[in-house]
Amino acid sequence: MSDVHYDAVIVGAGISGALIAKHLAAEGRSVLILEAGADQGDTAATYRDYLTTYQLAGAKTPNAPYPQNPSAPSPSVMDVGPIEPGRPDTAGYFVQNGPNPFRSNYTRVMGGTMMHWLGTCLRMQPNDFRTRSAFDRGVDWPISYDDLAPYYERAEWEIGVAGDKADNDFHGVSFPDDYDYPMEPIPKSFSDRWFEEGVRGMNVRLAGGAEAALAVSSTPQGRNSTPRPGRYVVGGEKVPPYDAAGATGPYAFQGQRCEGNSSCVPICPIQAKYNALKTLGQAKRQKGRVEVRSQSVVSRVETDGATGRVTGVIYKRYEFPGAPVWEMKRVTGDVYVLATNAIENAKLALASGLCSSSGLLGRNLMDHPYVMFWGSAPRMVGPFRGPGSTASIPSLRDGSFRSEVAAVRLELANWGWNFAANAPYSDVERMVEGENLFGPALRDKLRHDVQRQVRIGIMPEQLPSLSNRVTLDPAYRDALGEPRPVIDYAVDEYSRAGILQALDVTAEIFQRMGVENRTTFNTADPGYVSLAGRGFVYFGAGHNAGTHRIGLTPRDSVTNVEGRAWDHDNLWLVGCGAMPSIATSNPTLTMTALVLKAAEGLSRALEGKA
Amino acid sequence: MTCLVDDREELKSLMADAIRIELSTIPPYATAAYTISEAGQYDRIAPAGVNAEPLEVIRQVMLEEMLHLTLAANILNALGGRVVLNEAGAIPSYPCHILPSGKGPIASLRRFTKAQIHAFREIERAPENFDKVKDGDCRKAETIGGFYYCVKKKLEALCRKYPSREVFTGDPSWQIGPEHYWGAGGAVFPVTGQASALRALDIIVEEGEGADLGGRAGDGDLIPGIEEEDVAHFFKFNEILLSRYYRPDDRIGAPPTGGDLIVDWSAVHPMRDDPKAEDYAHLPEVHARMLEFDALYTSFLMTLHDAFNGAPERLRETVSSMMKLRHTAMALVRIPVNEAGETAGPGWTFRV
Repeated sequence: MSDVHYDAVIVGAGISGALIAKHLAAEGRSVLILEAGADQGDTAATYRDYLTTYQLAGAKTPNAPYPQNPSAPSPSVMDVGPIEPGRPDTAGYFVQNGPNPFRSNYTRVMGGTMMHWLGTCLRMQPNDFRTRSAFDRGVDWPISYDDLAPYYERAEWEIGVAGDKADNDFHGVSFPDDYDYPMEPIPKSFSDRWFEEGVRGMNVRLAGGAEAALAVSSTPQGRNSTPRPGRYVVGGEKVPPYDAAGATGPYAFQGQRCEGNSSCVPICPIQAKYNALKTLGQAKRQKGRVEVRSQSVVSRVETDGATGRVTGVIYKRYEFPGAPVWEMKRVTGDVYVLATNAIENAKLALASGLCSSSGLLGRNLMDHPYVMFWGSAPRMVGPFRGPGSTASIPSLRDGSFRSEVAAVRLELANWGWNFAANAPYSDVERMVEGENLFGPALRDKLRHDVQRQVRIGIMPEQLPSLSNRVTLDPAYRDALGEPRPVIDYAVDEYSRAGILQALDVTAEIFQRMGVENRTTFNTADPGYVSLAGRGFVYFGAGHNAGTHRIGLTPRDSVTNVEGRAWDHDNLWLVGCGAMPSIATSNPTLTMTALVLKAAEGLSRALEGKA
Repeated sequence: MTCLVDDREELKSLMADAIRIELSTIPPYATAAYTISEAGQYDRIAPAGVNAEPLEVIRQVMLEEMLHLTLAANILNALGGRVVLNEAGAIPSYPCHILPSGKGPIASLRRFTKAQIHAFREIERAPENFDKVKDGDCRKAETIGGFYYCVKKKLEALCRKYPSREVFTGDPSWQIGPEHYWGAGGAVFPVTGQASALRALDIIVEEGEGADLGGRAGDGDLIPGIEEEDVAHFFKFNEILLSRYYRPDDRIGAPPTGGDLIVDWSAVHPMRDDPKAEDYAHLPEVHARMLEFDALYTSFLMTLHDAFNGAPERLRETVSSMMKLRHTAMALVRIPVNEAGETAGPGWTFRV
C-alpha cells in the first residue's frame, strides 16, 4: 500500500494539472502531481539550459529545446513519413495507421506542451458551440458560449492575456463593459498593418453564395505587455489590478515583458510568453501542500470492479532518462485527475480499461490541418520581428458557408517563410551555394529578399470523426514498456474544401496587394492531399483535441461537462481531449476555461472532507 | 528653528543624492556582466552555458538597482523636487565614491573578477552601526544603509511635524506607476504620501544592504530576504564568491550551504580597467565605437530625465536604448586593444 494519501492525485504537470493544483491548494488541499518528464525549467539556470539546447539545435523544431527522453518519449514533427495501406509508419513515437499522417506533436516535460506554444488565446465563437444546429455539421456542445463566457474571462486572467476587446468582438463574441483583458494588446506588426490596409474594403465570394468582407484583427495572446491598471469584473467577481505571474520578486526571471525575441515557438528566452511553470510555481505557494514528482510515468489507473471508483495509481519512477530501469510505485487519493494531452490521456485510460461504456474514448481525435501560403511582397515589411503572429483575418471563421465547407482562420505570420521554407537559413544557403554571393552583395540581396517575405497560415476546422482515433496495440511499446499511441487519422473533404476556399481567398489577397506567390506544394510530402484535382500540403498545428469529449449523457460522451468520468465517480479527465469540437480557435484558452470549470467540480467533490 | 520649506529642501537634496547613488552602481554591475564571455556555450560536448548563473545573479541585482532609482525618483517628485539627469555634473564618472561623504565604497568599471565582486559586495555591505550619522548629517554616511537610515529618520520627522498633503506637494501625474515599469526587479508604485514614501525607502534598503532600518541584522540572524527566496544584494554577491547558493536556514556570518553556483573566473573578456574613449585616440575605430556608446548612454539618460520630469510614458523608450547599450558594450569588450590582448569597454561617460 502507499504510504501517503493525497486529496487529489493529478497526472501531468502542464497548465491543466497546474491550474487544478493551484485551485485545490488554495482551499488547503494536499495535491500530488505525477509528471512523466524531467524536472527542468523552473529555475533560471535550468531554463537557460533549454535555451542553450535550442541555440545549438540544427533544426529549430517545436521540441528542439526540450530533452529527447526515451523513458517518456514525445512525438516529433520530423518523424512523419509516408504511410502505405496496411503498413503503419512506426518511425517515431506514434504508430501511424493513416490514411493521412497525424502531424502534430506534444512535449512531455515539466510545464507540458505549453513550453513551446505560440501563446494565441482566441475564444471560440457562439456558433462554434452549435455547428450541428446551425450548419448540420459536427456536433453541438453540451454548453453554450454564454455558459463558458465567465470561465473564458477567468482563463484570460490566469494566463495573463494581452488583448484588445474592441478588435475581437466579431461573430457573436462580446465583452461586458466592466471586463477587459488583463494586459494591453501586443501591437500589430508592420506587416499586419500593411495587410490591414491592403484588404480594406475587400469582399470575397464564398461557398453557397455567401460573401465576406475581409478585415484584420489583433490576436489576444498569453504574452506580457503592460498590465491594465483598472479594476475589472472577471467571471462575475471584482478583482484587483492584474499582477503578472513571475513579473516581480524572486520569480522575476519568469515574467519579463515581451521584447520581440521572435522565438516564441519553441522557447521564449525571457519567459514573457506564459508557460505552465508560472502557474505551477503559484500552486506551490498556496496554503495546501503541492508535491510534484517528476520522472514518474503513470502506467495504470486501478479501479474497483464493483463500484468503478478509482482506487490508486501505479507509476514507474525512473532515475536515469533513457536507461530501462525503473521502480514501480503506487499512490492513492480521494480524487484522480488525468491532465495530460488528448493523446496521452486516451492512451492511459485505454491502457487501464477506463471509461469504456460510451465506446467514445480515444475517438474524435482532432487537430488543425495547417496549410501555409507564402509570397514576396512588393515592399519591405519587416519580418522576423516580434511574436510569431500578432493578427489574423477572422472573416472566414464563421458564416453560412459552413454548411458546405470548413471555416478557417487566416493567420498573418511575422516570421517570413521560416516555417514554410526554413528562412532565412535557406536563403543564405541558396545565395551562397547557388548564386556565389558573398560580402556586401550577399548582405544586400539577403536584406532585399528576406525583408519582403510574407506568409499566411490557413487554420481550418476539423470535424469530430469516430474513425480518427487513438488505440493501443500490445506489439508497440516504448522503452519503459508503456504502450505507444496508435493513430488512425484522415483529413476529410469538408476540411479540404475549406482549405481550397481559403487558398483562393489568399491568392486573391496576394494578387490585390501585388505579392508574388511563391507557394509550392511538394507532391512527395507525406502531408500532400487533394480534392477535386487540387492538392496542397498540410502540417500539424499541435492542437491535439477531442479524445474524451464532455457531454450531457453517458451515451454520447466520456465525461460530464465538468470532466467527471461517467464510469468512475472519482475520476476526472481534463485537457483539450474534453473538447467536442475544435472550430478555428487555437484550443488552449477554451481548454483552460473548461479546466477552471472542472476545478469547481473537484472542489465540490472534496467538500466536507476535513 | 527650522521650517517646512527648509526641511523639505534638505530632504529633496538628499533624494537627489540617493538617485545618484543608485545610478552610480548600475554601470559597474552592467560592465562586469557584459565581460562574461560565452566561451563553452557552443561546445557541443558540454552545452551548458558557462557562467550563466553568476550572470543571472548580477542581472537581478542590476534590475533591482533600476527599481530603486525609479522609486527614489518617485519620492523626489512627490516632494515637489526635480530629478536632474541631463547634465554632466549629475552623472557619475568612474571610478568614483558612491556616497557624498567621499568615504566608503568605490565604484569602478572592471571586468568580472573576484576582486570586482568583492568590491560590489562592499557597496552593498550593511552598516555595523549608525554612529556616522548620529548628528543628523546624512552626507557623513559611509555606507548606503547608513545614508538611507538617516534619510528615513528625516522623512519620518518631517511627516510627524506637518500634514502629509503639505509635505508631498509634487504633481501626481509625474509618478512612475506599474503601467510604465514592471517586470524588472519588482513593482514600481506611485509615491503619494507618507506611507508610500516610507514603503519605497524600505524596499530600497531591504533589497540592497539587507539591514532593516533598525540595524538588526547581525551574526547569527537569518539571512535577510531569504523567506521570499530572494536574498539581499550583499549575500547574492557572496553566493558568487563562494560558488554556492544560500538556503532558507542559513545564518549571517556563516557560509551558504545550498546548491552549487558554478563560476568560471577565466571565461571573461580581459577588458582594461576603467575604459575611457580619450585613452583610445590612437585607435580611431575603437575610439569611434566608444564615443558611440557614450552617445547612446547620454541619449538614454536624457530620455530617463524626461520620463522623470513629467513624461512617464517615455520610460518605455529606454527599454530599447538599454538593449542597444548592451549590444554596443558587448561588442566593445570583444575588441583587443593591445599586445597583451586586453580589450576595450564601455566608458559610461555623459557627453553633450
